[in-house]
Amino acid sequence: MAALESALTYLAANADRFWKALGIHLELAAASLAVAAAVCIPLGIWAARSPAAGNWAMNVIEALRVVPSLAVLILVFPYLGFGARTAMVALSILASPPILVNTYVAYRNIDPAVLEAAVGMGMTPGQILRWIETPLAAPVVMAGIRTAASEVVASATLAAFIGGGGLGEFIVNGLAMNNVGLLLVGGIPVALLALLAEGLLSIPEYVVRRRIR
Amino acid sequence: MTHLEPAIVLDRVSKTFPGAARPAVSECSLTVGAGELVVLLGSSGSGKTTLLKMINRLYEPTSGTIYVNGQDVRAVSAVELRRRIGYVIQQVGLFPHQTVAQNIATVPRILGWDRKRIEERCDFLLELMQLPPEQFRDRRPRQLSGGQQQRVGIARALAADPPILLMDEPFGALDAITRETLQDELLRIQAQFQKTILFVTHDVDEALKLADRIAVMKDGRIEQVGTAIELLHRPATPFVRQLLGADDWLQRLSVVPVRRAMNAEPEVAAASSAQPLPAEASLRDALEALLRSDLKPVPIVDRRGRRVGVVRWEDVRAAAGDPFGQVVSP
Repeated sequence: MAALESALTYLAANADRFWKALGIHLELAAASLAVAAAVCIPLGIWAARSPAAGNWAMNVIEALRVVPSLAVLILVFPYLGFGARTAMVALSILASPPILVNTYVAYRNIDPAVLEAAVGMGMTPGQILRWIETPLAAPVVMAGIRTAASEVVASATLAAFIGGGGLGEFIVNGLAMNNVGLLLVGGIPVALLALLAEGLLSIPEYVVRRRIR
Repeated sequence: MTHLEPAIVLDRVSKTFPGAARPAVSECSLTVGAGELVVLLGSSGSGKTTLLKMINRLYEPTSGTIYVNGQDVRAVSAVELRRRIGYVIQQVGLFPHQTVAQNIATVPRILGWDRKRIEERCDFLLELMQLPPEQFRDRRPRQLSGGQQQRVGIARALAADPPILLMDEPFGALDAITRETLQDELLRIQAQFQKTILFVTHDVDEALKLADRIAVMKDGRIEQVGTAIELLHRPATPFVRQLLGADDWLQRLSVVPVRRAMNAEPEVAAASSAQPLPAEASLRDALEALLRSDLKPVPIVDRRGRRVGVVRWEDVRAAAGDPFGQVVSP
């Protein structure tokens, strides 16, 4: 309880620092997620069109998922040095597998009869992608983004280790100073953010899923 | 059927899939007249679906030429060609995220029809398929029974009023009663709008019931083309005889509609004192009616009750492949 009290005291005295760190944390997470989505959704769609290569690539990616986030950060760090940019690259890499795999699976699993009907009626590949495949694949793709989001929000904490800022700073400092209160200033919001990301992103997913069924 | 404008012409069409040892379709030639309903009949692997899918270029032939309305199908883009040909498949393939109305509107929307015209067309087609528009328009495919789904599938294929309809075992997944109902409705629509229909099935009874002409396929080749009665009466090969079960003639007569053997002689029909038969009745019904009328010509009436023709003893006997030989000659 004493730790929580000291955390609140710290927060009251350093509100500016906290909000700034929270802002950086969210920015970092959102930007990484956006980059990962922008790269992985098209890549996943493309992979779904060439099943042989796609399957092989997905297996490799699934295997790579076991590499922990800290390891990714450490691996990128020597090439890009300190700072938020390095953290963003590492977090984007972390966010990629769930988005890529879900996109691939979503576009692969569209009912072949639906596609045959679409082609048979004279829809162009672009029309089929926009009007048929993407709406049908959307819920699964969004589930992938949701998984990636909670992973990224949690892992963005690690950015502080390489000077990327964010809520991790409090944790790093708390650990260094052996100050549990300071640790909680970073730790509790990160945990809440991860839950919030999961919860908020399941709303649009639910809406899209309902539309399809 | 030389008096009809040819709508679909297949000229020595062959298809060998990459890596396949033998062709899926080989040297098939067939002419389908405008407004004609031709059935491609064969067991699975006979090449009938492959042949069908080459017409709307889902497959490209290895050799040979296909003409639709006099034009080589390769002369236009595949996408444009398909918009002018209705396509119905066994699994229906309705778009699950769209309403019934949106599904039906697919091709009109691509063609850029205005909203009002699309809505009117949609309601018209739903009514045609016996689905009250106000009740079905906004439903999702999963809220429909199998039969209702295929009704929407047919409505969707007819949406832009294509002159030609390709149907790939459209009723194969339906229960027997629903199948019969939809077969009847297809015939009604066919009679009303004179669509050219190429219909694939492995169901002999379905072929006999629906077809103006049947093309029997085996191992990628067309074994014989002819009317139901011609095939039953003069099977060209032992396979055709066996497939149609021409030996079990009484059974076969019960699925061939009497209108296939009817003589368009309204005066004779008007004069006949025998009990009239509806045009949809089978030749077996006709046989019964003939026996009851002491083999006097039986008048045939259409849906509106008009006497349009007669069927005689000789017609039924010919259709049955003359099972009695010379033993009975009235």
